[in-house]
Amino acid sequence: MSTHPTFAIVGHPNKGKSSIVATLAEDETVVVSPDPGTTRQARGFQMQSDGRVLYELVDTPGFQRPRAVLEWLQSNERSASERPAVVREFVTRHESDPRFKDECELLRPILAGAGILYVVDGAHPYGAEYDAEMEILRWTGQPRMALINMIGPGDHVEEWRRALNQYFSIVRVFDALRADFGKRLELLRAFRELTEVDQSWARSLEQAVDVLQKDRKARQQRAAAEIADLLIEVLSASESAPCPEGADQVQLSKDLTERLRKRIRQREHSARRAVQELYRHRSLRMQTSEFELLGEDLFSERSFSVFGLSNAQLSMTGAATGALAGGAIDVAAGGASLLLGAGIGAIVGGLGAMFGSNRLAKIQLLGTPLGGHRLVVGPISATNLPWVILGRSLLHHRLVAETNHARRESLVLVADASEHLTGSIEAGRRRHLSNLFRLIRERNGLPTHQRDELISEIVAAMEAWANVGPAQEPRPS
Amino acid sequence: MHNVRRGSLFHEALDIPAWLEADRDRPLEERLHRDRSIAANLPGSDPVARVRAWWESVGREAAPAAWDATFATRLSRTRGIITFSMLLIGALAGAGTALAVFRYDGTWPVNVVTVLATLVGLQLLLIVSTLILMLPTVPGLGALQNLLGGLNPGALAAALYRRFARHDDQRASLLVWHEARGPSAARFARWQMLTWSQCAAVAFNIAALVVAFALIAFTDLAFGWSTTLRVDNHEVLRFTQWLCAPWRDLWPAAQPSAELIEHSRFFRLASSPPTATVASELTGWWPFLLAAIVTYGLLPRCCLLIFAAIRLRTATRNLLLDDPRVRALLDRMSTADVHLGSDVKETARVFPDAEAQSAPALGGEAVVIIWSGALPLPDVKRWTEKHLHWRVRQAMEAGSRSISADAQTIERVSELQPGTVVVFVRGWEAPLLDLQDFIQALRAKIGSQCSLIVVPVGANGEIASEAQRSIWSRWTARIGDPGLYLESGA
Repeated sequence: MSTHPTFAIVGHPNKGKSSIVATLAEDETVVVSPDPGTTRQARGFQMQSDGRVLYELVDTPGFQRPRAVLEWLQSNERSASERPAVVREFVTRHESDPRFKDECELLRPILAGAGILYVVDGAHPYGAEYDAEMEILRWTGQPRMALINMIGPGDHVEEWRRALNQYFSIVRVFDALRADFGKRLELLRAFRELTEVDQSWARSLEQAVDVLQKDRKARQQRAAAEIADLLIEVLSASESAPCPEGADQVQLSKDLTERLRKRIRQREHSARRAVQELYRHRSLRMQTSEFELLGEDLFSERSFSVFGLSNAQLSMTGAATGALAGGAIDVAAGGASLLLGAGIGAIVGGLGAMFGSNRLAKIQLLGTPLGGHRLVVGPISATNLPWVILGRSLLHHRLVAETNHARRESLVLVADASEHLTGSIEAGRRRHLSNLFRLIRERNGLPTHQRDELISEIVAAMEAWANVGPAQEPRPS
Repeated sequence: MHNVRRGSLFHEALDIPAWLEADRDRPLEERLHRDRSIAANLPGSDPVARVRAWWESVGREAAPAAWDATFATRLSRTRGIITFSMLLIGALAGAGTALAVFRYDGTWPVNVVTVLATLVGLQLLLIVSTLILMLPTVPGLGALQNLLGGLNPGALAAALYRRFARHDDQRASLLVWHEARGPSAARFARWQMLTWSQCAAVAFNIAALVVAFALIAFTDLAFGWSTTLRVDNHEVLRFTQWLCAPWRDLWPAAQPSAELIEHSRFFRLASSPPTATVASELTGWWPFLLAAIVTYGLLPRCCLLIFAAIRLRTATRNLLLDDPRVRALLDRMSTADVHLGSDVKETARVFPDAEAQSAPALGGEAVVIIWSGALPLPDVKRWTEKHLHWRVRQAMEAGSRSISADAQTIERVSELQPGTVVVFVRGWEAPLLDLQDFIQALRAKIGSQCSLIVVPVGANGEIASEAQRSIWSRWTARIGDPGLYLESGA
């Protein structure tokens, strides 16, 4: 028996074995093909933590000639207790027989001690030809679990349950294409039931669940850090160029503004790539345009209206932030100012945010130490831009985090284009974020402890969006 | 492989983030694994020490292609040149100032008031401005702090660096306080500038003292005091006693006596300078002057230099640690390396994109085989006539029972000597080699003239979907039987 929990994923061809492996191993490179017989070799997928293997899944080819195999086994049967030995004998004898190459390949890991995960399609009816496969698996004597995968809209789960219950001690429904992280953990916990007899396997699986949960948190934290750094870099970004005497300043400032826009777009793109990589979705890079709303240009009106704050939200947030700043003056004055500071702060903050600069960035002509001038465009002054970037990043993160590695289809966002998505962030958090955005502009960045605060706010927004944000649904490719 | 020799902390604070930026092209999994493995063998918990030790270890690996290894070296060298220049400028200024204020041509004595004003008073004023710069940004003093910061030699150095090195990298602003990007860089630039100032000031004082002492030792100097202000000898005595307070007990000779003060006052309006005899009595001022320069010039500057250097080191550590790429590295070093996936190469089979042929003609009589219960037997006749326009001569089942039962079915079909055999299959199921064996055995029995038509059927007797038809079509084509066709009834 293997020292770590090992499970062979077996079944009829095209029932989603590879999809289950792709989902559980978060490996988008697993070939999921409609053509039967695509998988020709058993392939192990290990989960390791610091080099220690916690469990292993073995993707196997599907049964091709189950009736022939079963007939051979039955014709060689000696006694019930020797059935596993007969299966072993079958594999030994047919090792080099091309007719049974797939069967040998799928039985080998089971005979080496792997638990069995038998995959069927619950969206289509049960058929008697599956009996031969299930009987062969029973002959192996290994612990067995059946997974009812759903490939399509039909529902034959009950019919399957009745058949599977006769051969398997545990039967679970697991939709490989739509399974979220929670469902994957549930399945791993179910594996534990399968290994009840072996305590070391059970402990390994418990540890795997724990490690995966921590890893998920760490990934979310890292994604939030990527988004925070994107915001910090964008809000403190500037472009400059020498501005000789008589140069066309208007044209130069337009060119620099365009350069700044390009830089911000590229920065957003690289942050997205980093987030996708965190969730092991490297090839989603090529499909970014399929995330329809996210394909919208960052500076377009639609982006601002969908992702940014509304005028009312902007002014409320600005007023609250201004009131806080003014309130500090009131406190310093020991209340002698009769809350005048907070009042004035609120009015100035609110109006400033509402009628704040529609221009992307500040434009300044500065002298240089060795003479001459430089035209500087930056830092960003557009009040709504950080909210737009934050909204787009949160949505992108959610899509990436939820996209299943077995899914080979696009996701379509179901969102009302008039929604101001970042407006759904709780008002107190919005105020805090607004204050942090102001600090970034003023100080050309954030010290570490405030960067950590920004990351925490983004994590909180991610968690809130996971429950109430815009929904997504699969679209057939 | 990059140079594994340790550079200065500043050099590494520039090099490591730049290396990590270029390293982002490497897959995250690879970076996680590498950094966690290196961290496992590193002792201690100080993050800077761990990052620097990591840097030494990672040096044995190939450097990322996009890494510019020369930038940090260039900027470090520039920083070194500026430090040396500041020391040189300070020393030259100190020596020049000392030569000027201790100038004695044998006529009028060296004026103690001028020496104190230049080498003590002015220095104290500069120390005050340095202290203002050292304070964190204070409301109301911000403009003054910015103005003083703007006058720093680093600003000029960075401008020169950009102009002559033709390098417009924003990191060069690390040498300029008011241009620095980000709080850590600004803090670093500020303490760098203050350290340079203190270097120059310490060199200034040392040079001034050396020159003054050399002049005292190797030439004859006479000292006196002269001022237009109305001050009497008692006031001057009180002032000097106040100045001497720090060294009164350590060096009593360096405190001017009332007699010295009384005798050494001079007015240039007087008919002639003091005589040589008188002048020799006036040499008693020099210990006082040297002690004053050491106490009010050199010592505070040395203290400020040590303080600024400590703060600069902290700022350099933060320059490294506050960088998001370094923080991400520390995170990778401290978090478990979770690896999911396979080390075995994907060997998925790729099938040729061939499509099966349609049956040459529909209509007539056919023998029907229902594979694995694709259609209920009673529905076969109606389905075949409706969708395929064939009459069913005889229908039989296969695929659900034993292989020998299938062989009997094949025998029965061949006995009928049909021109066309239709095989209904479950469209939603994948075609297996089991079926392929059956079809090949059937072909062997019925001969090559008979048309064999595979018909995938959808669930509940529906027409197979296009996706199902497509899978079966490719499979049928792959068998390579020229008399094997595919129809779906659509």
